[in-house]
Amino acid sequence: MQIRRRKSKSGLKAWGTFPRVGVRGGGRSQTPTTPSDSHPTFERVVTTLMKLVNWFLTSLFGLLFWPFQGLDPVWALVFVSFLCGLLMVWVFGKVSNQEAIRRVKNKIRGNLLGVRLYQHDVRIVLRLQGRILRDTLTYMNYSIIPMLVLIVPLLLIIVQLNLHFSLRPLEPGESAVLKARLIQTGVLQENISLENLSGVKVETPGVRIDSEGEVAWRIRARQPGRHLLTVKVGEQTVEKELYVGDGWGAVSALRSNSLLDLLLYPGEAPIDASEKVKSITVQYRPLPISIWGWNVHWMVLFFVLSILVAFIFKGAFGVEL
Amino acid sequence: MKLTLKFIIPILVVVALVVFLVPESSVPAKKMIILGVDGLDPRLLQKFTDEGNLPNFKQLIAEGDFKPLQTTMPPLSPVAWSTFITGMDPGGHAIFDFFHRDPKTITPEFSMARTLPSSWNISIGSWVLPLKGGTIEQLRLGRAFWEILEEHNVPTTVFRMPVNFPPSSGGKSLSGMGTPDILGTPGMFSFYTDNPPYSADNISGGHVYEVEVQNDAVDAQLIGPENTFRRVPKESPSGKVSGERDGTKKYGHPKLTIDFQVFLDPEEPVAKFVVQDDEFILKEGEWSDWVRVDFEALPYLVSISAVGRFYLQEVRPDFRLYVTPLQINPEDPVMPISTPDDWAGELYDELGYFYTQELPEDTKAFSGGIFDGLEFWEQAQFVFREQRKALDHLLKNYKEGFLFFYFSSVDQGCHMLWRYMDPEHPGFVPEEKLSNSIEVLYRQMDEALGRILEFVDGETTLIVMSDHGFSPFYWGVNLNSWLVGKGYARLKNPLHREGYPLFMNVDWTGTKAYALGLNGLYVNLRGREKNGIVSQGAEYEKLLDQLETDLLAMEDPRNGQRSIAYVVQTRRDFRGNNVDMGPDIIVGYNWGYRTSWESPLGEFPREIFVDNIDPWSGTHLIDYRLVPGVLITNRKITLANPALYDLTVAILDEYGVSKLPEMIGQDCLQ
Repeated sequence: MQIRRRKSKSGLKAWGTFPRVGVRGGGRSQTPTTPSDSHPTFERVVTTLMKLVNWFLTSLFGLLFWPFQGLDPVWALVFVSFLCGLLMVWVFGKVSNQEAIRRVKNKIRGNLLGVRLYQHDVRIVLRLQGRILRDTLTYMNYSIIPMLVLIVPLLLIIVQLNLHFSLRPLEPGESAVLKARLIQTGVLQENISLENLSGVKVETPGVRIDSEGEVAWRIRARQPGRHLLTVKVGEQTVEKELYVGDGWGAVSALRSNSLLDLLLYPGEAPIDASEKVKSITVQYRPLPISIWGWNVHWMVLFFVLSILVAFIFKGAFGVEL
Repeated sequence: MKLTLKFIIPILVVVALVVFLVPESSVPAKKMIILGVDGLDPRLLQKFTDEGNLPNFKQLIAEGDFKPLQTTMPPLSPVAWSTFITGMDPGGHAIFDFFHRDPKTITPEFSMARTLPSSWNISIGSWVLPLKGGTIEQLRLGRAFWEILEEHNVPTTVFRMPVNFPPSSGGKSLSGMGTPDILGTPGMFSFYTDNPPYSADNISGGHVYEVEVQNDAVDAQLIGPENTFRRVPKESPSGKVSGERDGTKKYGHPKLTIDFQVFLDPEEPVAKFVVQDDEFILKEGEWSDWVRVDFEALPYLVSISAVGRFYLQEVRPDFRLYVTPLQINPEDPVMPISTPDDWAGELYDELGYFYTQELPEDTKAFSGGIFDGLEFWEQAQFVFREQRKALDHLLKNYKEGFLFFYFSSVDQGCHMLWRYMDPEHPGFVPEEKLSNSIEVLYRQMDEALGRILEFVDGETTLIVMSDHGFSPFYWGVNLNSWLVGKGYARLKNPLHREGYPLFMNVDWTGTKAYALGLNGLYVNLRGREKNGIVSQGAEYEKLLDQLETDLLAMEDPRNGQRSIAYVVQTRRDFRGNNVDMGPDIIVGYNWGYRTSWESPLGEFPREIFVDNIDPWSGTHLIDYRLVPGVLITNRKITLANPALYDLTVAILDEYGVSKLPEMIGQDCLQ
């Protein structure tokens, strides 16, 4: 057995005198929603903008998926893949130089035919292959701009799909770990508790991991619904949504103060930078997506279906891909 | 066009009617349910029933019949269940013990299944690419009765039948006793502590790993099976690689491992575990749910999936963490544990993860001092609840045909908890919470029977049966030491009695017989054994008779009791074509006696008779006439002394199927 050692830290000196990490019921306190004055202006603007975008897209996708709530999530995924396939082919047609693409593809086809016709003549074949390579690069060049244009909406769509299809809500009776990370290590010095526990039971005291700046609790879901749990650090409070239910929907695993996380985890508003809490995570389980008994990652299904739809409908839109 | 439609539409309608309305089989197969309870003892059952604690058994007995069911000699689970499965005695099915021996090496081998690695590999550096898969071979011979039923279109469901790994073909079945853990052993737990017990090296059935708690965190590893896709040079004990110069280097396979971390709260007795992508929190004294782990054998291509449960026994002052033997994951089984192959996965879909190893109750952790009695009870009850949940699921989906369901809790409970209810036991422990635990196990069986009775109609045959009964294990007999005392065996150095397992101290030139396995005794036969000295024929026959006489005369000088009540000469007393595969003699101990802990694996302690103070305090490894099983049914039993092999014939007969010529029983039900 290989044993790896961890260096002792000075926190051990205070053995037995740490403030207790407790679990308390009681009233909810409001999370501050406005960024602090110390926040740089640019970052504040970006954060506000992203919050707006996230709010709009989350609402839009919520509306889009609303008719599918009682069904297997795969139907919603098929539906949105279909829409995205159409959207992609339409946007591609609008922002690309269709004439140039058509011309270069024709050239490639002609040269491919030439390769078959002159396969007895190595010199001609090599020359034609060179042209094919050149035209292929040209084709890729024409595709770059539409791809760049497409990447932005696609990223936002994928982030939304990830919110809906990567994780499932906790089932009533199921347990999970809820972790709060502080901006600075030193959780042992703080009085940290988990509050507002309607619909949820906290089964363990918080495990304080000073080296990680983390406190973690085991919670057990009791009643379906979207519950707001409050992590209290000293006098500050930060809320985290917990989704309990037996279906599927927007499951936000992470609430954090990072801009990148705000982009990737759009389900909840960011934590204000002035808070001592950096992030709160709930360990949800993956949402199983299966087709004819085969488990498939939602992203694979999404890309396969949307690309298929794009190719099927390119003629209808008069678009050359 | 009109004409064509005129014909096509009626044809389509007829096809649709045939497909949707006509059932596959117009006559549903007869219903028969067998509840197999390992170790259910007729005396204890009668006692608890008389005391009014088993109302469902009482009802079934009143409406049907109840008789002791003759078990096998030896009355060991693998032997007895094999007889039930095949309708043959050990001479036919070739299972004589948990262990057999290789006569060429005189080393014990697992009797129920054998794994053969791939013999066709390509080695590239440290990588090994098998071109052909390895195989797992079931060693029980003869045909399982449900295979025969399936051939006669009787749908069968067989849940955890012992000695059925890999499972025999036909029907739906999940393997039971004989199914290994992910390491290929009967079940190897892991125990992580910063203060290992003194006996850590001697604990069988588990590994103790010393870890350090540093900064309130522990880093440790789960140890998986060997990675057969990798090879590393074998090192000598001094750490040198032999054969490096002359190119005769020998290689072995490294173990697969998974790192995990435990973060302890500095003050509270609670810890967070990080195992691969999974995180969970346990308070001291809590068990985790099943945790799935995947050992990566070939990066991104081949991984071996397993599941285990973590038990945080103590946070401080000592850190003590127990991890169950890692189970074959039913969701993604790395070995064949079910027929059809995907049935284990279907069960997982309905039941979640569950124990797949042969006997999940961790008796080894209890015997090794890792668990105390209450911890064992808690773990064993978890196993029972899993099996009970599976019973509900199978009953809910049971429509027709044959259903067999197996419970292990009574057998394992009686082995480990007997001493709590028996003040005469040398290892008696007065523990109020466990003094009636065996009765509780019987009551749980009664509750399960009550559930089954809800599904039994007038056309359903119901049988409750067991493979053997139970007796106390008061005294151990060092049979090998007795052989030395009687001059049947000779030691190289008679002064060195301890610490020489596997016959290391035996002088084979002066040894005529040796004991190996739980009840087996072998003659050191010339031409068969590696260093055989006894000639075939008259000398062999005479030796067997002499041994039988002496064994039956063996007396415990401490109380004057005969310690052996019955002896079987396999070639004389068994039928079938495979009698030569077994021991020459099978010993049936008297009530209260059993083979010692040392003798079955080739040791020769000084004392012949020893008190048993191990938690393993109940046994059935005695004269088979003293520990019959149970046969209870809602039909009348027609034989005065029904035996396990009679029941096999009765099952076939129930469906109008003739018994096979090699089956030795007769129908025992009306």
